[in-house]
Amino acid sequence: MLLFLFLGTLTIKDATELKFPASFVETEVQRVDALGEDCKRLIKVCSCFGLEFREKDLLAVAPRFLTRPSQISEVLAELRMCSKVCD
Amino acid sequence: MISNLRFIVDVGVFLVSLVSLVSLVSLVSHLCFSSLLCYIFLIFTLLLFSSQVVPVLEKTTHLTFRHQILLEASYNLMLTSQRQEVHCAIADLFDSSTVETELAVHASHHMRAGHTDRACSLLCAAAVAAIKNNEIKEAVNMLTEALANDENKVNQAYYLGLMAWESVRKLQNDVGGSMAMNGLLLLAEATGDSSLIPRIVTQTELDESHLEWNELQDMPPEDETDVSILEKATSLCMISVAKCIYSPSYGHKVPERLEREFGFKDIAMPGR
Repeated sequence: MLLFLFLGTLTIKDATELKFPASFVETEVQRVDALGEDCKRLIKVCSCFGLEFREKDLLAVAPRFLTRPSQISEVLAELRMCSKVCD
Repeated sequence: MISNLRFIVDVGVFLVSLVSLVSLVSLVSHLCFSSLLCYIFLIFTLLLFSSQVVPVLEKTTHLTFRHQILLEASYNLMLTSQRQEVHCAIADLFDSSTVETELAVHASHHMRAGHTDRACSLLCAAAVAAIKNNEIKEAVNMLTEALANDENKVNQAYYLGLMAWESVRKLQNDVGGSMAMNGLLLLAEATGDSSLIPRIVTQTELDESHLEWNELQDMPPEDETDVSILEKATSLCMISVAKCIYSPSYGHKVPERLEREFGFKDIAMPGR
């Protein structure tokens, strides 16, 4: 019972409070850096929206930041394929 | 939001079905009654399938990052100027959008885009909404952020007044009273009106104030837009200070400060 109470106090209420080790973030930075130019640009725009956002808003904002604005749907599909963002 | 609207439409469809069923039944039995119901049915159908209802059915897809680390990594890859540009575009989109966006989210994009004034006004609106929903912690966080970024002293006093009143309501008189008095000092500095600073008044001034008080309306105006930020800030700060004076058992720092800084003597403090 006491163990459960102790574990309960360790629960983190907000996921954003978590601090990740620098090596984790650096690995992800390298992975993002390895993406294609437009994919990289699009994921950066996505990161400005936050963890969850409307696809419609992204489609309205992102094209001006891409090298091929007309192909935003393809770029987004590519990001989905490599499991960077999901529905 | 969308699910709520869908629910409303579903209820509408249910009502149409119900009315049509009743009208069919009554068509058989009572001709006059059925014609009336048929009219009702027609109106419901027109409402449901009019252009005002159709956009509600539009599906909104939400995208989510697979992991918070991925978001942070992507965000850290951008230069400050690039982030500002994207946040600016997002803020402009939300400004012109008809789709309701959370005020705090909207404010954060304006803040990061460097539109401090707009961000602070949105933060304040979000805080007031949070207070109405009894989400005090969130409201205080938003007001603190607005206070740190807004350079307008009247606005700063308003944020302090809101926080002060909420603290005093929770009987945290020392914290609330201190904020309210700082708010009054800011207001006096911004307007050049020294009468806003707590001071000892003559009997004549007191009688005049009492007369003015009696002429006030019993209830505050329903439309808050008519009340200026200056008036709101003044009222909130003054009421908070007054509450601290008249309930000293919950904190005695305000009466002490009044004596120390503003020359008051022998303030009635039954709880002290």
